[in-house]
Amino acid sequence: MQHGKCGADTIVCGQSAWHDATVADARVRVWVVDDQASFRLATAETVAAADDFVMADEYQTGEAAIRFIPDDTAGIVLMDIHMPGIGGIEATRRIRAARPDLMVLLMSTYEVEDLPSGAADCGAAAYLCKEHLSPDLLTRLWRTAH
Amino acid sequence: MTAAVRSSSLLGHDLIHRLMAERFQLFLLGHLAMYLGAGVLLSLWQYAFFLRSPWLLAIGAICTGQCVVLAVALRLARCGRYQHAITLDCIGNWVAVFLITFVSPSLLPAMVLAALVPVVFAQPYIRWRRGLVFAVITAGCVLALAALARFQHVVHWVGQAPPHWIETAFIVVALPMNAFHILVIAWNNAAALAVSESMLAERAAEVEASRRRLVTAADEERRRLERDLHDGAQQHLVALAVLIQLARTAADYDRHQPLLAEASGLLETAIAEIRRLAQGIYPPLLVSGGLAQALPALAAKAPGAVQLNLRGLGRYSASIETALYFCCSEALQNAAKHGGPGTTVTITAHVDDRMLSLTISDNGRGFEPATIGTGLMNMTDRLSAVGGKLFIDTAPGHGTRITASLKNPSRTAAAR
Repeated sequence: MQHGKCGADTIVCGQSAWHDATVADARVRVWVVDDQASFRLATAETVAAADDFVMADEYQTGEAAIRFIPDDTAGIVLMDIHMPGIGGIEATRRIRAARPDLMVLLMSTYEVEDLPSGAADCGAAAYLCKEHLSPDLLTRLWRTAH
Repeated sequence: MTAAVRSSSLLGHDLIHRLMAERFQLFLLGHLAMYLGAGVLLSLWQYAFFLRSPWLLAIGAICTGQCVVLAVALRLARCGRYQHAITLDCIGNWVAVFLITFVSPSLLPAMVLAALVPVVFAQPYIRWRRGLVFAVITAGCVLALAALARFQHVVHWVGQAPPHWIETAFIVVALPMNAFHILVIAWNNAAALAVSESMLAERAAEVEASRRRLVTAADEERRRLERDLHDGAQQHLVALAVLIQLARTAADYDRHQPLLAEASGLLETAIAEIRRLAQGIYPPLLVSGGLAQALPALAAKAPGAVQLNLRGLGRYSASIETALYFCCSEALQNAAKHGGPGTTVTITAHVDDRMLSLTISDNGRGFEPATIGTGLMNMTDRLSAVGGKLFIDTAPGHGTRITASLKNPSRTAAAR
């Protein structure tokens, strides 16, 4: 992993997996998966403050995200790593396998060195510390990938 | 339950002290019986029925003196004054065997054995240095007895020497009795050593298991703290950081107020969370006011009704106060978990000169004693570490009574 300039750690570099994603002028849909209500609230506020993004839905577990995020869709999934149930890493792996157009951003409050081993190869585009989440960061991550 | 009782240090010490007291009195009685039987009664019997010899009266008088000494020593031993008892017995015994050998040198073998008896069983009851002094004096005494027997004729004992058969009768009675007494003492010492060794091994195994459980409990506590911090306060603070950053960079000033209101709410939640966490790590009232102030605060936070009767509770060392506080905390959690709705808990302190105990009883549903959780097991270990024990008395449908009990430390440990 490399430490990105925008405050996120890039996990997958090089070719974009979502090159044929959304229409250019449509707002990007954002899902947040986190068992902490306070962070879901902060994410909703962040997305509301970003012109190019719209909050699609929020889930408390990885299982719910896998089940309810629509199949043929593009957008960003903000995925907490530590959650009850299968957790964020396994959820990311399954979501990316079924819906390759979705860009998954792993999040937690841990330092990047303390992340579980599966974080690097589960298909997530980047890891970001939760406190760095901002409209600007979302925009830059999305544009970098496209 | 067995573990709860066995992990206590009181039981082993009590048992050892009781065994020591019983052994000491038994040996003093044996010594007394020997002097009384072979020395006093045998002499008087022979004087009365066979031979009116002053020799027999002299032996009887010397042995009567030693019997009086032994009776006094026995009384001292009953008061636990072993040092005095054994010193008195040793001195009286040295004088008695010396006088008897002086009166009748042919009793030397029996007297040599008699001289050895007190030091053989005194060792566990006196300080090492005094034991060494007694052993050296006894060796000197044996040497003196041999010298006396060898050269006694020099002092021209004027008393009428008894017939040979009477001296033989004394030797035949006293020698095996003394030898048997010494053998019994030696066997008993060996048996006591074996019992002590097995108790020590059992205790060492129990202490090791308890230490392992305490270490595991400490590790689990650290993991729980990490989880609580990470999932609680830290998450609120992270969300707060995001919201403040949003407010800081928002171009639209109308957005500031709602963002700051949400941030303020999160901050309050985070503060409450940290306060709850800190309270759980170590209750501040326990430091400042001891159990008498911390337990009412704990009771006030309990989900059910709690009655308190804490009369007599003082200040104790931090480790004791902490152990008792967390026992109550664990018992209250237990009552909330197993008691069912409408459970009332009563915490009662019993304090006297000897013991300090807290009883936490509830009228709830109780639980199967075999299903004691790690929490109560940890409390057992924790109390054991400060020399106490935890009794858990419960059964399904009969409520629960948990008693944490330890020796009252007020007289030994300085209260802060």
